[in-house]
Amino acid sequence: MTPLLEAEGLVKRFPMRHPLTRRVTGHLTAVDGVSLTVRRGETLGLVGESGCGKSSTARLITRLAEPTGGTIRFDGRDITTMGEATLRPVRRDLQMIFQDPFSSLNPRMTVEAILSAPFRYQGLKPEPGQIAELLRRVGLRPEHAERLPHQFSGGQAQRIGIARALALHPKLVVCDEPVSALDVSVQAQILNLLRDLQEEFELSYVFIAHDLGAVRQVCGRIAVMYLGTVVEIADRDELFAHPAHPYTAALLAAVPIPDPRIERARPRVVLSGDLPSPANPPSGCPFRTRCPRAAERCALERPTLAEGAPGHRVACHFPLDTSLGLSRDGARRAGPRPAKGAP
Amino acid sequence: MALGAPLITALTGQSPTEFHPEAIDPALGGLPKGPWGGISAEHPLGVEPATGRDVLARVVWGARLSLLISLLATLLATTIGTVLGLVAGFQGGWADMVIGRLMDLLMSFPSLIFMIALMSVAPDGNRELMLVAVLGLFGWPYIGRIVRGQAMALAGREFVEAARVLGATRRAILFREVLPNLTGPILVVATLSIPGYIATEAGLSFLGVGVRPPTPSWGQMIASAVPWYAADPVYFLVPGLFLLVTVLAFNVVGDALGDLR
Repeated sequence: MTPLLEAEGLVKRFPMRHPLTRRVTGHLTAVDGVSLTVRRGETLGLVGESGCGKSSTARLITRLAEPTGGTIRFDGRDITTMGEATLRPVRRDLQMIFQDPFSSLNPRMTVEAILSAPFRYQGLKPEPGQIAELLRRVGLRPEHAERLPHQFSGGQAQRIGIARALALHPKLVVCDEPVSALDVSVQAQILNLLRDLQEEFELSYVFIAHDLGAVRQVCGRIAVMYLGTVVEIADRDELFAHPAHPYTAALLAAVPIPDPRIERARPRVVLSGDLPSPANPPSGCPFRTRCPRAAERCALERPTLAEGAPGHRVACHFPLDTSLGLSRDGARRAGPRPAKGAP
Repeated sequence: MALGAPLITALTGQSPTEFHPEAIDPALGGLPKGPWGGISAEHPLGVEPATGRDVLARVVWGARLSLLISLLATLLATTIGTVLGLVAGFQGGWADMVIGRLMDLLMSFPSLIFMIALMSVAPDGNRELMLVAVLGLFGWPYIGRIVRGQAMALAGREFVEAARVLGATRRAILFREVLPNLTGPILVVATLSIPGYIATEAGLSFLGVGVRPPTPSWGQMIASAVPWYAADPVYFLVPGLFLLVTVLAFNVVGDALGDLR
């Protein structure tokens, strides 16, 4: 069966203009050649620090932003250049949950109006009782339909956002940091709800987060992003057990362990410096400026995603875990040979 | 009062255009007979010098016209301003450029002078409608500005993106998602702009380019009272006070609406 979503070499570039002359002085590359696949029924996690292009990728996948390059195939169809009218029926299957539950609900609409909006915008009408059923399904009461968004707590508001995304029974839901604006105690409830709904509606998720704990809870596969590129992608357990990219290792090392003895004993990987500007990315490997293992080659040549262990792909000249069977990389290391497909 | 104008005049039995030669004193150059501008049981607010027309009747009929013109002008300005402001703020790009420059142009114009010029060369058809059109034409950028700014702020909110993901058309987003969030500010600005239009209308009529006699209008009454103010101050005071109170009242209502939100 074809994957539900195939993004191939997605690029999003914003022109930067001189404030007075309006001349284009350069480009800010928010997303730089991201390729992802989402299989039916799976949850793909997308992690990385702020500004690494996670949300931009989400906006490209849902066609909220126009990609500068690359293709998006959804459910067997190329939606990259579809016009808004042709795209409309596709949108029934491709929904999104937003980060800020209050900002994503129209403050002047009742919950009833918010939940009928998906039907209305698609030229449909909700069946009687369908709104109440939606509310019940996300753990709210039917009488909540009369209320306005500001009368709810953050967690309840996010439930409304989830109900809206599910109203048309989509196949893929892109969750753009759905819990990062919520209290920790509420986060777990929302994550559980998302998981229950996935089973019930046979959903696939693209789950974006900077919190590895949340990602570990819900995702089957995880892609790690850095400066607009995917640096590593693997199954969850594989990634947590054998991170191959130094950046992934640093991210994992930053997750606190609630046992002080283990916490003290484990090795620290502390990254120096800041995220480079996406307007002026470093040559070669984007991570080399902060990488503890960077060598001369990293500045010359950009690493491409290469498969080590089955399903585990990493973009690094010197990956960490040799048990990954990336020995062929050792051969590469011997002599600087331009990697295939490097730009 | 404006709505009740025909009733009031019917009650007092006076018409706004009827001359009353018996109420003025030709020997004094047409000054009203009696003190306080000829206030009597028959003419509660006195009579006009020289013509003897009933001031109360003229004031209430003038209110009718002033309010009608200013309300219609507000309606026109608000509609144009809201639609163009929404499009400019939401669409951005060249639409914003064109509409934005147009607003700047209209706002930087010495609009009163332009209105005088426009009204004096305008054909003598329906002066009232012309006034509405001219007032609306120069008034919409003020509302357009505010709507544009608010629409820009709202366009970045996630609920607009959510509507797009749901497949909403641009029009549906503008009028169903964005516009309801703007009714508050629009209402306040519109209410606050009514007194401005009343005053401008009075000003234009005062300058002789607004409503033509014998149709009564406050500005026109004030204008015709100017040569008489030393001899008959009441004739000057009455329409002036009505204008003052009306403008003040709309300002207070607009302020209160602003506080409500």
